[in-house]
Amino acid sequence: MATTGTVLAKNMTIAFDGVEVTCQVNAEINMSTETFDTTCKDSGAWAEPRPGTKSWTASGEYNVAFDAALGAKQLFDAWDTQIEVDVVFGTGVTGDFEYTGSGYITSLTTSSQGNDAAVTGTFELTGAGALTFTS
Amino acid sequence: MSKHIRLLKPYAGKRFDYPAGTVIGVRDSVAAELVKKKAAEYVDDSVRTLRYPPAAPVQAECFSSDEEKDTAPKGAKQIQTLTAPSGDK
Repeated sequence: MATTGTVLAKNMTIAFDGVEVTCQVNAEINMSTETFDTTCKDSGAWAEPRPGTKSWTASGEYNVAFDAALGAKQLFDAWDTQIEVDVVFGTGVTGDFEYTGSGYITSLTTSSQGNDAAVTGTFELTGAGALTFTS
Repeated sequence: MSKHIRLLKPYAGKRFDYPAGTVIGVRDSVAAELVKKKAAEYVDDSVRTLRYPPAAPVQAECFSSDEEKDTAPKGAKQIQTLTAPSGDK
C-alpha cells in the first residue's frame, strides 16, 4: 500500500542494483541544470539564461560494518571496477514514487573520527543518462 | 520502507552476489517474490542487513599464518588459552 502523508526519512533510502546500502544514516539525491547565457546588448537589465545540460547525483552516508551486505567493500568494488550500477532512491514500497537511474560511483570516503563513535562512510554516484521519478 | 529478508538461497544481484544467510533490504515486490519462491524469509525491518547472521558461529579453528597451518599436525586444533593474571603483574 502506497505511503500517504509526510514520508519519514528513515523509510527513504538508496539502493544499488535493488539492494539497500547497509545501515544508512543519510541519503540524498541532487538534480541540477546548467545554463548558458543568451544575454546580449538588447537584453536590457536582465540576464537571459537558458537551460542546458541536466545532471544528477545520488549520495549518502552509512555506518561501516565489515560484514555489511552492501557496504564499504561492495562500494569500493563498484568504484574500483568502474561498473555502471542502477540506483533507486525511494521507500521500496509498491506504489510509492521513487527516483531511478544508473551511474558510476565517483566518490567514496571512510572516516574514523574520535573514539567512541561509529566508523562512517560516504558515497556519491554520478548519474549517467536520465533520472526518472515514477511509481 | 523496503522489506528486510534473510536469504535462504544465494541471490545473484545484477552486480553483486549475496550468499545464503545474508539479510538484505529490497523492494516490497522483490521481497514478496523471493519469499514466495522460498528463496528468502521475512525478518523484522530493524534487523541489520548484514552478510552473516549475528549469531553465526565463530570459526572453531584458526591459524595465525600459512606456515603454522602447514606445519600443524594432521587433525590438531589450534587452541588459544587466555589466562587472567592473578595480582598485579
